[in-house]
Amino acid sequence: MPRFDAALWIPVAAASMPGVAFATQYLTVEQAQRQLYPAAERFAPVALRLSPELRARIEAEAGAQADAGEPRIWQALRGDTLLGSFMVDEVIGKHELITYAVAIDPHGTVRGVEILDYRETRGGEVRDPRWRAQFVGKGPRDPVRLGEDIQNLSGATLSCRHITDGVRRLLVLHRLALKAP
Amino acid sequence: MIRRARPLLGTIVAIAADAAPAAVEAAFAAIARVHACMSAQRPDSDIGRVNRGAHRHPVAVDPWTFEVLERALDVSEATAGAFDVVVPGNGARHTDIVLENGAVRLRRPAQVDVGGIAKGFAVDVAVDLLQRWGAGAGSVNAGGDLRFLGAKHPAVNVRVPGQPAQSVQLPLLPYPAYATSSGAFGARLYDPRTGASGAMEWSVTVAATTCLVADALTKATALLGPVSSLLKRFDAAAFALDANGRLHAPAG
Repeated sequence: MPRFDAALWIPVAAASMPGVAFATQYLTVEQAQRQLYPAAERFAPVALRLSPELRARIEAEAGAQADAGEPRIWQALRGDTLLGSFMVDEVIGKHELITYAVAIDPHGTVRGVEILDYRETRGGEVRDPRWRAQFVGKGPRDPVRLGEDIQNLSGATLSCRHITDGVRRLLVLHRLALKAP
Repeated sequence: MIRRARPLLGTIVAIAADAAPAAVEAAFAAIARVHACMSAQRPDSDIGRVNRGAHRHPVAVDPWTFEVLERALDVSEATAGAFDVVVPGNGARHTDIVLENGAVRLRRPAQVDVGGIAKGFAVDVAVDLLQRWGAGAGSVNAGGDLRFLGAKHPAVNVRVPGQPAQSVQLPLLPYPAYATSSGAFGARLYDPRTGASGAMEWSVTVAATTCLVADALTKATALLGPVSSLLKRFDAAAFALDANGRLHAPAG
């Protein structure tokens, strides 16, 4: 398999960039609120306390655990009309922390996903149990699939999967804990 | 400069552009269209329909899907199958794909996966759109498939395989598009000629005028080594980065 064949390549001088940790803020929470709900007049925070039972049910139905606690939630309102929910959540990639926002309309449909913050780490967080926990039970549930793990540029793929898992979990949370009965 | 990032194409797509917000929206919409047309995981995508029925009857596809397959066959021929969108099995290979009149036919049952080239194509259509909307500077980055807008761009850093916090700066090149194939984070590179896959403890970066070419040629170059006739034909440059962070250019 693909071995580095030193006979085919010659070393060239290149600047080494040690310890560069990449971080970008794409949108603040307020900017994301305005972008996803341009018609909203105000955003009312929702104080949500999930019972352990409900949290377990959400995780079971979504097939995904929360990476970093519960999301921050707002209701987007125009007058007294509910336009939808706005949620801010965090996921952990293999070497980055990503904050993202999801807009879910009152029918439970995703209207948009925006990444707010993307922060790479220098490795210190690897000591955090949350970082290590992400690899627990990852083996057989993560089959190597064409176009995903193989032959793709790696790195961001895991983050994307975690965002997908996160959005699915927020949709279940919306259905079970936020939607009017 | 507007900066936005969204989860698309199985990765995080980041766009930076000195353009109107509507232009950035249009660019994301184009990328979403590529995803909808070409995801092998979606049964209703062009590729999903090709995989189910194109061995029985021609399957009409979106012009973008047709274009990606045309370009993929071009690279397959030039690399003698070291790049191939046909998944190995039943002896099927790129020569079993027939493209005519906007439709795809397969000479035998086969599975097509354009994951190794569609991401680069998506970056290209997004860049084209942004430029048409008047953007003069910026970049589109789909998880390491990267293309800059405008004549001048900053130096590109490539992560050292296995040491994500370390990177090496490529020399400044007159190419706007870059793609890297790497075995970092446990990803494996596979050989479409045999179906075998293996760990890769180094990475290949290809610079080219389009991201589609850069994307396709990184895989071929990782398997074949740098082939000067290939790089010349597609107007591209290749680099290798070993696990110790030493950058290499093609010998000879």
